[in-house]
Amino acid sequence: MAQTSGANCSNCPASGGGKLERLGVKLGQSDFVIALAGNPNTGKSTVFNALTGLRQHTGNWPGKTIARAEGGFSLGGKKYKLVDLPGTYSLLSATEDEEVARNYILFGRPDVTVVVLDPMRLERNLNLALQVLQITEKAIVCVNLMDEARAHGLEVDARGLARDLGVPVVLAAARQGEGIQELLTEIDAMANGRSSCAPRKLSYDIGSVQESIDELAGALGEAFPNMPHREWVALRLLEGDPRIVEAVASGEIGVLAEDHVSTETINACSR
Amino acid sequence: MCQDTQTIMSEQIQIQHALKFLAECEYERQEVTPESIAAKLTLSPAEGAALLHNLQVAELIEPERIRLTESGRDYALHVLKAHRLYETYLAKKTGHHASQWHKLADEREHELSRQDVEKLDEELGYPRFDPHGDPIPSSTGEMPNKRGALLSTYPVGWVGRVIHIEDEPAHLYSRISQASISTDSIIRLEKKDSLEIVLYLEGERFSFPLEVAEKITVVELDAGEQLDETVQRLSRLPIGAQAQIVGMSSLCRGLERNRLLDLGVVPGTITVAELMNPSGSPVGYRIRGACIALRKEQADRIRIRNVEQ
Amino acid sequence: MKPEDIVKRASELRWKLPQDFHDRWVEKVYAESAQIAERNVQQKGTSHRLTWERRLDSLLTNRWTGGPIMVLMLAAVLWITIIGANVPSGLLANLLLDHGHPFLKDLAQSAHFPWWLSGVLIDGLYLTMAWVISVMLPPMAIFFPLFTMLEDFGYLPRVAFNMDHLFQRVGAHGKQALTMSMGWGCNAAGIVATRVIDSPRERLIAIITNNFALCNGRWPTQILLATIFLGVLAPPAVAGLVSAVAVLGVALLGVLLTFVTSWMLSTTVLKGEASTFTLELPPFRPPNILRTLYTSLIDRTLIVLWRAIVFAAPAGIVLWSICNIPLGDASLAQWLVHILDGPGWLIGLNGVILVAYIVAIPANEIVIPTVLMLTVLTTGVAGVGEQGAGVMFETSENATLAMLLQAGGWTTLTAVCLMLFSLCHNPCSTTIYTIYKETKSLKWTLVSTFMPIVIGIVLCGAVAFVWRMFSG
Repeated sequence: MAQTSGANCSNCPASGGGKLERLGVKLGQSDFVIALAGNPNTGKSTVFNALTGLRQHTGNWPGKTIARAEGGFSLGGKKYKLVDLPGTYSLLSATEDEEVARNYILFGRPDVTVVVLDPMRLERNLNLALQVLQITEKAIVCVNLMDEARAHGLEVDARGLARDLGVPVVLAAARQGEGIQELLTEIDAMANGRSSCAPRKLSYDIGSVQESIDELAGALGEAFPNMPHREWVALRLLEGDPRIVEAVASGEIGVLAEDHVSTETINACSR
Repeated sequence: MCQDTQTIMSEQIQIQHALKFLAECEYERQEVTPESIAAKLTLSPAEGAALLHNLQVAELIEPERIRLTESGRDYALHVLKAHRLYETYLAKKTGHHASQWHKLADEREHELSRQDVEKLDEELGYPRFDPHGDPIPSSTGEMPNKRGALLSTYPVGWVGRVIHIEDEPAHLYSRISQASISTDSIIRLEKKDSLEIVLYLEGERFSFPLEVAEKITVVELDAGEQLDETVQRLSRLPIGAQAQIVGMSSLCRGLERNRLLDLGVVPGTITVAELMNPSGSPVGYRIRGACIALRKEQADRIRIRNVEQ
Repeated sequence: MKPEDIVKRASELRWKLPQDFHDRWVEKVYAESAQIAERNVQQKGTSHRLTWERRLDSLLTNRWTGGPIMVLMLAAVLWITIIGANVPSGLLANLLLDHGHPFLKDLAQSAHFPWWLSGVLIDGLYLTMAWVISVMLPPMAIFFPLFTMLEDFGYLPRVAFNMDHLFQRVGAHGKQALTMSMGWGCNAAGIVATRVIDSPRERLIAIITNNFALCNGRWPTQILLATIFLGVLAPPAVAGLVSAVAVLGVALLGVLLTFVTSWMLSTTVLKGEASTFTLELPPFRPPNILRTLYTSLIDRTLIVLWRAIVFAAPAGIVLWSICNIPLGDASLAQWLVHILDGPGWLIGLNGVILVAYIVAIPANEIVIPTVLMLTVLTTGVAGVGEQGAGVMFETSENATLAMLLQAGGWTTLTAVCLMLFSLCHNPCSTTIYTIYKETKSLKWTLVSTFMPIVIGIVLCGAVAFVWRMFSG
């Protein structure tokens, strides 16, 4: 359903020749949109480069990529657009970067969200991953920098992680190109609906909050029957997140729940 | 013409200040006299009387006694809300120093319409207390009941929690905030004589002039709660030592608080002081796997408990 | 329930939230993350890499070794840049200026271009662009990759850590030490680099004060003036040392001005901007040399160079035109020089220098050639730069240059004031444009543009006044 608008256009001759495939040129017409999220300094841009063949500079500086980068690749005859979201530690505070990332995942509803993690700082990275899993059903976790992790004597149990998080987990070392093929396979399977996942949901049992959340989530469910992540929206509503309050009051959140949105809308909604 | 607008403006500002004062007194259940109003607004007795007369004519206070009418209270709460919200805004979203907030809010509160106040409220995520611990009226004008008593009413050795710090006069307020005492600190009154008081909190002792005891409102601790002698400030952690984070003081707010939370400065996190700048600040702490450098003022606002290695 | 009612209900329920709800929620997510991480990650044996990293960290931030390592690294980067750029700069100049220019002139002549067209295009546009490329490209192509390698390795955050207490005193962020060093290569690149400062106020401070980092286009001016005017005052044996110290002094004055203006900004106009401090010290990573070369060439060098060319090209046209458009019995340039001689004198300079600076807003590299060309134009000295009016040139003969400038009325005071003015004047147009792009604010762009020039005028005026008072 999500790709209907894209699929029609990918057939027309004007939709870019094969030469553009790995050039990372803005692919206006793509079948799928993939978002890349992750903490700063996790080698997210390296994963981006490995997937698109672009060479975006990635300094050893937390928070190097400020602007959102876009690129594309094609796989199994389908065109994918890859959006590199700003590196953030969380989706909760109101910094500009986090708002862009949050709004993109929530309102932009990418076909797949890849969360890049650093195995040496897994706790902090999982903090973001868990938050992402609260607002999307289609996520893949990519544990990057495995080469460094091995140098540190770390072993990561990918299957255990996948079981705990409820989403596919790929171990990778993007700088060496390790694991990129597996990541592509997972992206392909998830985008085409051949794999499904049940992301781990957090409970909200802090004090008397659960009742309020249930009440609001129930009301949201009545007002916007198809809306996913009701509990999360209810939580943000309760905390008074201005962007979410606005989206609920104007009914925008319901419209967004219905269909896939083009990048233009996302640009508009990330202000 | 220009002269006129100015007098009218300042008259309106005077009325707003008077109303705010009346609302504050009503909340504190304090008696208001013509003298106390004149003193608060630094007016002569005659000017004070004229002001009260104006308030009565405008039906903002009752004709017989100095009490807010329904419309007066409504107006007063609006000004109060504007003031406290604006202080919250300054604390959360700007870099102005704490000693500046009150003055800036006093200037700005008169320019904010009801719509502006509503918008500000929304933007700030509907806060319920301002940075000094004063409640902010909700859109229906409700405020939680007043609690606590002044620190000056308690004897030496008493232990309790700070809930409010008066922001006037500015020089005392800035001394209190320099010691990183916040509206959630648990303190012990260690010494009190005719000149000074000494407060113990988070492993440190601070001495203040006696008047400070009149500026701090405190409450008894909840049942089962006690002053934890093992709690210290992160800034005291020596290099190489390990500690568990207990929490952040309410002085750490806004963007900064969210940043630190997201970096893993949450209760239960184990941290090790790893690197110190030769000048003593910043210090690099290992927090949830990464080395994060924090300045002394930031580390002062993070509470820790020492744990065995 | 209607959407508005849901929002309303939420604000009612909000009062029931515990006050520390947000904190507890983050705590909960972290607790869960910790649990998952613990279950699925195993540490096999002790990590040698970690011990090694910690040792390196304490070496780089230590009281005794941290500072010297920092100075050595910086000196090494600057030295390699200056020495390494000489040869390719010479080659490029030879190719583009000595051969390319006459070749194009001949071509234009054989194609029967009118004199003004070949003047505007070849003597104006082409020559200025060629100049900018040959002077600017080699040092940047060396400086940026070196810097990028230090960055990729993870050394730069340690520098920020070491320098933070100094910057904190003036209300700035330790990372400003790096954007400042980057400014020694190119101010525009330094300003782009301020993106790593995540606190709004500190970032603005770093942007506005970056111009006080003497950029690669201004080092040659400093070195030239110090050599031919200050070095000669000392006995020949120490002449080199004296001029080196003078140049270093100007660079350090720039650092001092950075601190002073940062402090002024943070206590006045920027007082209310939000400010936070976070500095993560990332793990060390071996830099990937080939990739670094590639990306720093694409990301920094070529982009900056491209913008410089775009801005320099029109300047070349303007320069050639004002020298060749007659107004009465002299050219427009001569008139301008004449008019600006008075104000120039007041600040220890002269009309030629002011005109050169106005025309050279696009790039600092063309200031000295423009000054020389205008001096020949106004003094009529024969024997140098005879290609014609509006044609930039430079000569490697210091004695010839000194003679020419002295004929133009230059004294030691002129040289000193020009060295100061070269440090404190408006940023080049590439930098101004970059400031606008990064701040998206006209106000801060104007502040960054005019603050240094006001300081420069005051500084030079004061020096000229005191100097003249003492020299009678």
